[in-house]
Amino acid sequence: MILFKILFLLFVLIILIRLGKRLREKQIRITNFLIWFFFWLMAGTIVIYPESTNYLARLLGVGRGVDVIVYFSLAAIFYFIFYFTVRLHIMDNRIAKIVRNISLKEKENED
Amino acid sequence: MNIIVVIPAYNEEKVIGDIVRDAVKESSLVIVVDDGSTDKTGEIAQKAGAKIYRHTINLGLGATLATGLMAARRYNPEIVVTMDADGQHRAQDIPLLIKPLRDLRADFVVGSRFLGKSFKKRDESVPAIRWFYNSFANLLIYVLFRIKTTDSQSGLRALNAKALEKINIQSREMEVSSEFFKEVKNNHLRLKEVSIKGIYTKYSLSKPDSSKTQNLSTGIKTFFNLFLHKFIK
Repeated sequence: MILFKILFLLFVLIILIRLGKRLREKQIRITNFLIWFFFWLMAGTIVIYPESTNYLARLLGVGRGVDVIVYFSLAAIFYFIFYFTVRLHIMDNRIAKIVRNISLKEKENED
Repeated sequence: MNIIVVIPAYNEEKVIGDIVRDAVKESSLVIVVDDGSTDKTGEIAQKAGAKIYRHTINLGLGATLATGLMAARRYNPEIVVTMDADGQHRAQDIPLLIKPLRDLRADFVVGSRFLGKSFKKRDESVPAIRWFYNSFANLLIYVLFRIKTTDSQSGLRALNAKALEKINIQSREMEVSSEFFKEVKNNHLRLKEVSIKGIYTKYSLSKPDSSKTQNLSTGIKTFFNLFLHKFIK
């Protein structure tokens, strides 16, 4: 169990360093940085103090602390799937617009 | 009368020449939108007498039709006809198709392969599975947009200048056929259907939008895209 904790914390540390790097290089916005920063900080805290989730479980009326994590994780995964589907759809439309404009412009220049 | 035929095409070098030559006889101008074909579709269509608009990458039927309609607007047409590039439609049907527009009885006309034909009385060449897919799609159009149609998936359509100005296609793929109905409804356009004969050859059945290849996953994807378009701009 201790080995798992060490490995997971290392993983979280790497992600936090990469997040910081992306913020420095202005690849992500500050709001996105903060959301992910606290998310991974929370994940790290839960791994170090797993019993802390029991308090949340009692507060929400869910059986065990680990169940709260599973429910929240599932909700988060579904949200991100939805979010990325919508983003992809928007990007698809933008690409189509660019390709169409090139096509119309090319013909205009030819004529 | 200034009639423009718009043909979206992707890898149709085997048949596009004949399609364009037939369409030229029935119109003032034929526009072929080459959707990033990797064969000689564009070249052959141009030699046959069409104006070519080319997508640098393959976008899909919806995006190609949208480009075609935008291109057509440049020539101030009185009527625009869209037809498939795989030989499913006959250019000889164009005069019949545009008659309701000429008579000012409609703004948007669909060439229907199923108008007045039950499952048993359908054209011999229409595969049974295609009939069922189409019936389901028609039902969906009614549920989503409250429009009754007998052939919601037809690629043979005619638009007058008003419809051309109002209709704004957002779809990228196959769901474009359904989106036309959404636009008709939202823009209060008058819809008419005209009976046409669908031609199902070995070649047209091998194309991605044919009944042979149009499977359940295509249907689900189309439905999902349609759903997305309903809620996301």
